Amino acid sequence: MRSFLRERQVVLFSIAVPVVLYPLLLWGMFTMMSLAQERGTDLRPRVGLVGPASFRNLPGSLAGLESVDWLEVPADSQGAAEAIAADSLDAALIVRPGPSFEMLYDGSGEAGPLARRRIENALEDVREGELRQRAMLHGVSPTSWEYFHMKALDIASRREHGSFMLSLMLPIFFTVMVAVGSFYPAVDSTAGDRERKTWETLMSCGVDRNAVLTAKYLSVTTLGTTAGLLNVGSMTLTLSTILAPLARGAQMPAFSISAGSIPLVVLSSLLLAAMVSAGMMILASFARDFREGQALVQPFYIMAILPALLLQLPGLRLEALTALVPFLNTALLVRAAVLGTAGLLPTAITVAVSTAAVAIMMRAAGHISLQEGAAAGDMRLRAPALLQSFIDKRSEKGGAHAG
Amino acid sequence: MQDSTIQIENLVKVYHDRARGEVRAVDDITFSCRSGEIFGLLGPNGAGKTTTLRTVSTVLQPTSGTVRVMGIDARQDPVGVRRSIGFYSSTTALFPRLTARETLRFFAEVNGYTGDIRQRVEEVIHDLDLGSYADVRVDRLSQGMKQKVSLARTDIHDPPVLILDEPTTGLDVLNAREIRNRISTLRDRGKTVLFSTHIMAEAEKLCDRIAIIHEGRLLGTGTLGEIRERTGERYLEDAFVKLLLRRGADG
Repeated sequence: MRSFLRERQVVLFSIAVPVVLYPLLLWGMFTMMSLAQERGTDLRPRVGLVGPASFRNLPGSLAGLESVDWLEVPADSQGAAEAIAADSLDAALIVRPGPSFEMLYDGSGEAGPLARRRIENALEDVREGELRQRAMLHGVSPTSWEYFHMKALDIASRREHGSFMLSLMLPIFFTVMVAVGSFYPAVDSTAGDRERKTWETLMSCGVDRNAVLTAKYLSVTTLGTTAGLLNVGSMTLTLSTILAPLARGAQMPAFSISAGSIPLVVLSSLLLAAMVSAGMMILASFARDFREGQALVQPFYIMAILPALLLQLPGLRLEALTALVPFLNTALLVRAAVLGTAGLLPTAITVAVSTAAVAIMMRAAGHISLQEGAAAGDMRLRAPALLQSFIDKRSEKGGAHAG
Repeated sequence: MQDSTIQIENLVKVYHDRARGEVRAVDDITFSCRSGEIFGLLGPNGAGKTTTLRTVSTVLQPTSGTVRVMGIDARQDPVGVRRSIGFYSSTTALFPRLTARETLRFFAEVNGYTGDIRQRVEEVIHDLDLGSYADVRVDRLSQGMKQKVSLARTDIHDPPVLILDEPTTGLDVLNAREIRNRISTLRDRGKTVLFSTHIMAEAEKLCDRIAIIHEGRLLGTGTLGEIRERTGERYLEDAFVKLLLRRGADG
């Protein structure tokens, strides 16, 4: 572990990145979004008005619409379309007798749809005002004319809003961070040791080789768990600041994780790191050097992260069925922990499935790593030969063993 | 083979090479080593010295034959064998990010040293005359220093047997001499040193007994005097060639 912590890459990816990178990235992203929104507010689409002169006397709310620039255009819709195609207009409002309105706009940019939204809102106000006046002329009061009035009130607390937002973002970042935190140590402790020729140094020590492998595995798992937890803590503490640019005076959600949820978050981190570390170490065992190890482990890294992306599907939650899927179950457990909805049975299934996955992978890792070729730092193993050696080993009784 | 700390009987190690087919890297070798002796395995590159030493140290498993260290069968109790030895080879490097002191402490612990580890580490550092280099990271030490630390690493848990595969390779004259002196000191303390080299002069200077090995087979074993007498040659190089020719004549 001491050797790991003196390696810059480990400190960077297992500690610094989880704490700093994602919060910084998110802050940057949301700041850009806020700037984009502000720019949208300042943008004034160019809108042409087409129709007979008598219909150009638009109601005040539309004629006085300050969020668009009304321009003179050719007299007909054909000319308006040509002007939009030539980018001298963003949209055109065609007024016909009735009245009826038709809007032409360039949907491939940002100004055209913006013009449409603003003019549609303004026309809705016009319609509302006209209907209200006609109702009053017929002796219908505005209250009864409205028929019903609906009022919506969000009763969720700021904390509940915060928990919901955390539950959307944390699982994926958490999964990525655990995988990132485990990646370098897993490759370094296997393929890296072979490249540095320290593998054989360890394998010739007066200790059971399975114990050496277990110690390496626990180091990698510890770093992966740490990376995941640091990220959770960092995100929780900084999310208010990150989202502040978007708040615009509205009440910010309160981001926190309840004390009761923390053990489950720690458990999830541990289980995920255990599975990721085991898988990565198996694959890196086939590598002769660090670069080869990276190449072998990369697909597994992506595979470990993919299930967390499924969390964007609506209605996906931790249940008995989803708890059976490794990697997905731990991401769902984090979400459930943050929301305070983790049930006992799904949690128990998650623990059981993850532990079984780890046990199987570590057994495989032990069998691969402790082959003579591996013990001697010379890996030329192929799957059929490995399988054969596993079968031979199982059929031997008290035969020679590599440890 | 009374008082033998290392006993090798009919050792065979076969590799299966895709290009060359079956390769008998070690072919029916038998020898033994005693405590307080430097036993040299001497032969050219590719003779089978490293394979023999790696098999004795349990890094490799023998295809057939027996390896016993301090009476422990390497197949039955490889951990027990490894606790009784310190193994050095060009394939056993040091951890670059640890200091010399940390390295020694780690290997003392891992190899189950039962005494006061801190005191032992300080003694060894003093013996090596490392001084302030003891707290420098290994990757910043000179080659000579690294080799000293490597040698110390094999002995830090005070094993009765040391297995050293060409420990002076890559060293300059002075450093190589210093390493040889340390090996002699270890022998004088009663340890068994199984030592390999391809440098005939080195074997002449250092070894109490020698086994000459070529293409996986032993050509001859004995003290330097015995080999000279057997072959009628003064220098090991000439003795080696003579033994080789005799083997060729015997078919």
